[in-house]
Amino acid sequence: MVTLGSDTTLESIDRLTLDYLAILEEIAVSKQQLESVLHEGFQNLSHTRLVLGQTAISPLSYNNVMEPTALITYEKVDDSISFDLEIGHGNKIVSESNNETKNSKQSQSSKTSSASDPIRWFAALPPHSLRSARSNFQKSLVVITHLATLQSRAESFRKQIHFPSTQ
Amino acid sequence: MATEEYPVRCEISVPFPTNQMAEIALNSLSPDPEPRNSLVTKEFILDDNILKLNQMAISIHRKLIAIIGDEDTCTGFLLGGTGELNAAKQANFFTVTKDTSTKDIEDKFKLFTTRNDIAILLITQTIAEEIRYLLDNHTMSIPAILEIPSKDHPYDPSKDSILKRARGMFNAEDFR
Repeated sequence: MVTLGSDTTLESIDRLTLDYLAILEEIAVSKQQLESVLHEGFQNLSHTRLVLGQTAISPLSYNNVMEPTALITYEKVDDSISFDLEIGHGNKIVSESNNETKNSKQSQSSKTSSASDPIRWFAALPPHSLRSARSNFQKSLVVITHLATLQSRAESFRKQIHFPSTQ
Repeated sequence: MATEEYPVRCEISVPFPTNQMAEIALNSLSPDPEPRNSLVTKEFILDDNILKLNQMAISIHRKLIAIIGDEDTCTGFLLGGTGELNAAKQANFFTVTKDTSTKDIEDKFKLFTTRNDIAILLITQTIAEEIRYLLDNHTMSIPAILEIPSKDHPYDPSKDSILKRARGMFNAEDFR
């Protein structure tokens, strides 16, 4: 229930509500994107099964030592959290704060060494569909990182609308 | 003494009475080659009677993406490079099969949301439905919880916790 307050309070609630709805729409669009890139990834995994066999693409093929090459850094921006994705060592893929793709300085071993590349667990000579699947899932990580940032902003708007700070 | 490759460094120097003792300490602390860990690299240096430990990291805050999903979902994301299986055999993913109990899923959810090295938790929407009350009550910003569609079930926005909260915001009563 909104108690009658000054015009500025009502205006700011209106503004926040519009921002909130805009973010929710962005989230809906990103989720659609995510769904379609994941769908492609699963299709590619199925194609790979036709080539390599059912058990090759399953938890049976997982290594017993795993090192992640996709990692997340995050920082607080105003009242919400902005997430960044890093694939490989020190190569930033997505920077939410500037909303553009940038590559930071390359480290000496910028390519994942073949020993720790997960695609090797499934096949020594990965077929094309497996490589496509990998790139689908890597792309999905970019969308996921963007979604995490949007979700955090949405939550912060929601809290501000629900509990407006009294002035 | 950070280098370009490892901007975050911590050096600890421990003096010992003699060089021999320092060497004994070194041999006790690192009998096996250090397992490769992409987050923090450790090295021991013996400098006369001082044992130095250098810990280097690329960033303090690089965190993991955890997954709770069916076999294909986990396989896919592991292929994408999110998987970690550390020395203590702890994984940052949990494969749910038809035999997995709801309690196991709840326990894994609680584990992943209390670990301090996970920034994002992915969970397929069908599994999220089984532990919906846990997701609805999760209000911490880290880890961020994302519901993702599974292979067999398309994403349903009406079930998503984040969007449900939004619907709860705008009640017809408010506009009277």
